[in-house]
Amino acid sequence: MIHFSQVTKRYPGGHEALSGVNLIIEQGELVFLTGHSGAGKSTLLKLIAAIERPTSGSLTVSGQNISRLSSRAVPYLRRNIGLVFQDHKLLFDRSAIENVVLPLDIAGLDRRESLKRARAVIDKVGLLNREKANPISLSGGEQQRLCIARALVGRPALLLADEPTGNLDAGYAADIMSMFRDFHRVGTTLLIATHDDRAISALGGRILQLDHGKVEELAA
Amino acid sequence: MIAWLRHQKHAFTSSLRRLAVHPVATLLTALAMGVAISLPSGLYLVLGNLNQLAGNLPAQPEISVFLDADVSSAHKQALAARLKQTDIAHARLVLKDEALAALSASQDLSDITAGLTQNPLPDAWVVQPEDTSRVSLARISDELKKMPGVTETHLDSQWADRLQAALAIGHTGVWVLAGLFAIALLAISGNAIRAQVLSRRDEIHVSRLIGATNHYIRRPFLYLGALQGLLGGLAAGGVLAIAGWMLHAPVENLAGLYGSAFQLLPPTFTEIALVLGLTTLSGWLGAWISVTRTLGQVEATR
Repeated sequence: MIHFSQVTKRYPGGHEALSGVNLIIEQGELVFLTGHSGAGKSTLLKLIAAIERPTSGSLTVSGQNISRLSSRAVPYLRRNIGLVFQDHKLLFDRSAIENVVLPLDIAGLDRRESLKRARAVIDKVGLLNREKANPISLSGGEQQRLCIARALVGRPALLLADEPTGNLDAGYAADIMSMFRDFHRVGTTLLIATHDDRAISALGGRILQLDHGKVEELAA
Repeated sequence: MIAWLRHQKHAFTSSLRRLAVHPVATLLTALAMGVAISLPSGLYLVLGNLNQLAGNLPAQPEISVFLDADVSSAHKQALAARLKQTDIAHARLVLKDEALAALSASQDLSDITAGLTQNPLPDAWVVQPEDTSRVSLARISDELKKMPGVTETHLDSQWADRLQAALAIGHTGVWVLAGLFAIALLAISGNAIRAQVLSRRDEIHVSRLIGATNHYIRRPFLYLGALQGLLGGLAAGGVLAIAGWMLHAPVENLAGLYGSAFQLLPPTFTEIALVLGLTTLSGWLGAWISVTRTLGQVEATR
């Protein structure tokens, strides 16, 4: 599903975030990405979602070559990828459910159908009684669950999560991780950047360590 | 196709909501546009009214041909024969006695005419040429003037021609003004839209991350610009309606003093529709330019 071949990413100014990464992630895999901050975890995720482009090497995601992808095609690639951010990136000018329904609005789905699907997904993350609330009134854990709901509502085949439990206390973090395990069981490919070791050991799965832009496979 | 329609509807309703959320800003922008638009369209209306005034003058331009007091009958006959030629549509002889009688009767000048010992008026022909173009009128007028026994010819259409020429300049002025204010409109709309784009940069950023196309992001702003333009056009209509209402009585009063039934002419439905269409288009265009520029800046700062 994801194929890195000698991928290097150098930012303007010369910092090399990834150097010659080779990596294959198959459909339905659960993969953890660890490493100290600045090791290139976020860069790797950004490359997969075409938020950044590789400086050299070839990267294919779902059969599409990211280096050569036209900017017109990027939105359609992203509709098949669910993104979970450490800072949630929720919009505070609208209710919780309006945040979740946004990807479906963007995809041009029927409004009533969209709301039904959004409600179902909000129920799945345990926020059904808060659907009308403004996200700013939700706790950090609830905001993260809302962000996950938004990532999942489009039924993506691939979910990318960048430090999803980074700002959460242990209880909430375990909550979020067990949610990820459920998605993995129904066949979603998950790539989670984290340095929460407890979460990794609780879920199992493949572990990749990033160090100074190089990827190293750790035994699970 | 259905998704496209849904997107249009969604963008339209969301921009309507935007306008309703900031009523004061919406109103001020509409007012600024309205004042800008009302200047050229107001001038256009004034010219239209002057045109109406000019149009009330005799439609057929006439040439008055005044004869010498002691003109010989041979010269009279030569002139009458000339006036029977095909380039003359109609010619009427007004004898000096008739003219004096008409003058005494119609223009309250009987006091003056009664005091005259002899009739100072000449015999005259009132001539309507077949071809009433300005060049042809001038040519016939000149030709008749050179005939023996003719003192003078007078082209009655002269001042109407001058008014027409002045109005033509005025019309050019309307288009120049309209062009200038269209640019002002683009700037006003562009500025309003720029503020909107910047205030919604988070939404734009998030939408991009979850698969929004450029069209999707642009669309509500374009609708917003078009709606702003339409509101501006309506505001201009309001400004002109108030001006017309205020001018109505004084103009009728003035016309009454001249013994004329002249009335202010309101714009036609087509003219209103045209102005609203153009302002909507300008709003849209201003939004398009602004969104294209501002989105580039928003992207670059991320």
